[in-house]
Amino acid sequence: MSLCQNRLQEERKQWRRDHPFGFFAKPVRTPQGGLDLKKWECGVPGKDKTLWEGGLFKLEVSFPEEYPTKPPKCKFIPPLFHPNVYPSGTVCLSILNEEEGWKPAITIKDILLGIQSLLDEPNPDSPAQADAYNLFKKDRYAYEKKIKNIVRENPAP
Amino acid sequence: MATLSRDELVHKIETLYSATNPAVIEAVQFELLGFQRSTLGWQLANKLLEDGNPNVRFFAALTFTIKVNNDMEPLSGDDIADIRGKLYSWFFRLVRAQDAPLVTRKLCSAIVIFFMNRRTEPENVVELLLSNLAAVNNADAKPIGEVIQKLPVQQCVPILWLATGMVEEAGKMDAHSALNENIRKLLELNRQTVFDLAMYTFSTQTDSTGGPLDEEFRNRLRATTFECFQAWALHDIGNPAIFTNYPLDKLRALLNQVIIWCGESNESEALEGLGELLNSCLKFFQPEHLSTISEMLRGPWGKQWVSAILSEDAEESSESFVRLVTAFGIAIMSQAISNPDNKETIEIMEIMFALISCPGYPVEEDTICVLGLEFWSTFVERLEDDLSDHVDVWKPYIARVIRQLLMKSTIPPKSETDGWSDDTRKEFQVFRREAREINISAFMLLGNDLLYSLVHEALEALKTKSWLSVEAALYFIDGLAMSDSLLGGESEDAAIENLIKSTLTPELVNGDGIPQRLRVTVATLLGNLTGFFERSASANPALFFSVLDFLFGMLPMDEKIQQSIARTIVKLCESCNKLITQWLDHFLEQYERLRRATEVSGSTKARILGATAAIIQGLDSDEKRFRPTSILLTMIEEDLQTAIGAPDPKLPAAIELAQHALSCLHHIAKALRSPDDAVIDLEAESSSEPFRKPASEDPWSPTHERVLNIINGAMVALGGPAAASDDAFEDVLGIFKCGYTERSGPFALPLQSSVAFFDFTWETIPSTQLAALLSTLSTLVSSQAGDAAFEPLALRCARLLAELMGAKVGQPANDPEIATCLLDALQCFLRRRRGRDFCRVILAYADARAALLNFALLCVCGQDILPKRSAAAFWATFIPRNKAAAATQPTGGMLSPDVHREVEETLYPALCEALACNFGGLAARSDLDALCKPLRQLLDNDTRATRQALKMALYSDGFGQRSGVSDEDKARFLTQVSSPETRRGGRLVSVVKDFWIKCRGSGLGYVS
Repeated sequence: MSLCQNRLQEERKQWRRDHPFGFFAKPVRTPQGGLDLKKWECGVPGKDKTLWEGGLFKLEVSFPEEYPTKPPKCKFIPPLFHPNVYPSGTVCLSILNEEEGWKPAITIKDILLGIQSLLDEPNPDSPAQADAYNLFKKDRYAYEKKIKNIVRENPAP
Repeated sequence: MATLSRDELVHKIETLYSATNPAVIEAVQFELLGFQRSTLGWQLANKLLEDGNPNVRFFAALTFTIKVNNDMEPLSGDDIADIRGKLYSWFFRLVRAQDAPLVTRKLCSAIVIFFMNRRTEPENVVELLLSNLAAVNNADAKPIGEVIQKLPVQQCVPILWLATGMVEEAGKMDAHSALNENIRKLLELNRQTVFDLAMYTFSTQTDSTGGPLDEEFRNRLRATTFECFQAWALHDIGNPAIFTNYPLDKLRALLNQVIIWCGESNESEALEGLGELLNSCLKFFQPEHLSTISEMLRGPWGKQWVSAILSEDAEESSESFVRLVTAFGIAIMSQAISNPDNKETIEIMEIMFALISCPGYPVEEDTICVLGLEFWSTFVERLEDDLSDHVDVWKPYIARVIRQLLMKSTIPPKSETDGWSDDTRKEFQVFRREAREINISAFMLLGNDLLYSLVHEALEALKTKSWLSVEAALYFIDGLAMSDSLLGGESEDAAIENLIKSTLTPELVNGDGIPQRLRVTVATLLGNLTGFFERSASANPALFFSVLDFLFGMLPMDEKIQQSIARTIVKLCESCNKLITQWLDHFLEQYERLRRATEVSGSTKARILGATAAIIQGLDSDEKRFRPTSILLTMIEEDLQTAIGAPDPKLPAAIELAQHALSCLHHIAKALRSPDDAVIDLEAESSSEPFRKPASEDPWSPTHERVLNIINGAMVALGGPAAASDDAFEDVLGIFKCGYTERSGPFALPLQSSVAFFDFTWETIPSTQLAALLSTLSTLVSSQAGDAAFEPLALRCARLLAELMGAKVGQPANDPEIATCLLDALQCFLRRRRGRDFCRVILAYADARAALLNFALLCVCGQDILPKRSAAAFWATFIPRNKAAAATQPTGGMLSPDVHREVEETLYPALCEALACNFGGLAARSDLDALCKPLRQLLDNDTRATRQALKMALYSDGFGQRSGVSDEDKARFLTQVSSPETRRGGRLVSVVKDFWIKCRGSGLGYVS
């Protein structure tokens, strides 16, 4: 088994044993019914006592063959209205950038917790989509109203 | 510092530990830290360890820790040797005096940190301490095993603390770094002695004098030993490189002791600790170890625990037992799967089943079953991967597990959940979802048998009106539908059909006391069964129709679940629209009734209208679509008329109606778009025929007029574009957008109507709407990129942009959003295949040209990120790749030679200067990729001129003051970027990034 597959097996085991409340993360099924360890579907809940509380946001996490040397790619499906999420849904976060903060020791749990923090703490120095970034910068009230709508559209079960 | 006497110092320390005022504590702490970090700190630590107050001695030991951690660098070799001697000497004194654990432990930390320092020589610290302590106690110098036995056991405890701290600190270092070689050596030197010591302290029942140990002390000693052993085992398992000459036998012998201790102690720490070792260090376990644990679990000890968790009053420590059982179950899983009939396997699996069979509701009363899911989800997935014949033997067992999980996932009656906290409710939902995941995995093994049994459960519960049990079964079936597990075999569809044909839906509409949750689950399930309906609707249209009727019937019943029902209706209508067109009239009637229902929200009505429009889209010809489309528009017109005719059109209700009209129109426009999978006639596409028929020949022209009248009427009712809400304005733009790529249809509105709307509104609307308008304009220009007939309108759009720029945009920083949208829109013009309207309109006029290009330049120089990125993209498109091919570039053929020269001579150097500023640290790191694109174009276009311009910028006074980069760095950068190899090899970005890091200072490699 490759290093990537080994590590992902271990991540799966660790996740089953202990994962933060309200999150989910599991490998997707292939059309044949087996599990594709290199593609996970995950859910990140909004943090309590923030605008995002009560929402659950779905992500697809794709691991390259070079994982964990290289970071996985995290993509909100559907794309999320957020200053640091590209229009395609891909998350712009330093720990997911090979040239910035990625380290092989970062686990799926760390990544998802990092994304949860990013939801309520956007990084205005690294905008990824114009709509959310501009609204965040120019009209905080309208931004917050929009986020509340998004949370309503993506309720946690 | 020097002004304080020892007494004063002691007084300060006493204040530190006795004060309650945080401000006082902070002030004293700050002052004392000054002493600790000063050169006097070493003496201070040494002297204060003699004090009678344990707090002061603790502070002294802490000072040693701080000093060896931070202040060893300036010390000479002799100084370091002296400190080593002092630390050891104090250790012996404290241990002999049986000083307070907090003091001794802190000194242990100081010794450990001392040996973590690269300037200290690794040694077998543990052996040295043991031998010396033994020597003090008159022991002869003998092999270490014998030395240990001569020590009073109490003196072993601090050495165990030290050994634990040593490996834990080592774990914080990078094990692969060559710089930490001395730490690896330190562990290697100590490991055997630590294991010998641990073996002794684990197993001894007597003191060195031969007297029996006090039971409480013995338990504490074993817990301390276990802590030490666990730290070493967890460290070592993660460092396979150390396994040459590794004392594996000693470690495994210790593991035996751990297992025995676990069975004797029943302490939570012991149970969890062993579980943790099974989870993380399985490689260290041998079959004998696993057999011993198995015997323990199956024997009286295990039985006692199992009966405790199955009883009503399980203790909290039961969770530790469950963690151990789960870890063990996972450890022996493969063996168990291969031996399904083995007595041992059967007994262990019964324990595992017990984990999900405890009494009470999950989370609130039963926390064990939540933990038990870990084992069962792993087991079912492992079985899925197993290709052997054993799998069949396990199937009945898995079916039993699913029945149990289904029972556990049933929502308790409201009378129970009313008393639950929000956290408990949430955790219960998480439990259900995870149980349902196991059900999805089990479907891969059990196939349709699982579906039949779930349908059976639902129908049986329905007979007795056990609504919550019905809900649980449907929730599990929904999981299968949602995960695309149901692929649609004949018998599978028959099972679903049986369920839908049952009394379920009529009961939900007419029955009393139906829980809201059941209605939501049914609505969600039906929405996830689109595949089933697509397959069955043509053969059994009545069934599908009855489902939609049922959903319409439920809409007014409960306001809280309207949105989820509306979503399901939309999903079903969109996916099966072609199959249900014969009932279109019925739907129109349904909507007519719904329209008047005051209990249904406006947004729900708009969604349903969109769903009805989706059915109209399913009709096979435009001729058939005219009438129903007209009916929908009439309904909207009537609503709008009510708004316009209101006694006071400014009343919120009237404004709401006007907004509602636009929202409905937008939903219809979206639903009536040609499907994505529509067949494209490539011949027609490539022909020179215009994209659309002229209005005079378009049968939809009258409809277009009505749509535009609704838009205009609504805008008037809302008080004009400037007064309309952002939502209303976006609806209008959305309606226009829906038609841009349509060749024909009710919303393929004449494109001039869009442009007229832009013309009419841009001057008065607020900037948020202006951004939306520019984005729509960009979409329009891009969508018509290849259509020559669009040229006159494109010219109008370009002119509008030029006017808008002059009137609305001054400095980019005034409104970065508009600046970005404007540059993006200009990009769309540059990219047009045919026509060069942008160039024609803007570049032809010197004023506009200068304004625009300077504006794009300012955006590159500015602080705002998005305009900077858009400007970079603009320049990358604007600059021809090479001079020879300039004529083929969008701008190339349009610029007169004079203008060309002017641009090259003035703007390109200015752009080089702006780029140099960014590469010199102005830009965020994440923007460097975008900024490299125009640089590449400039270099390809004219390497020499670009190099010269960059050089001027880099060596200018302004640049020099801003960064600390050397002239050599600048020269290297210029050489590297100018080299064709750099560009060809795709290294331009990395060269720029390296330079940027240098300019910002190496410590700022990561800043954005």
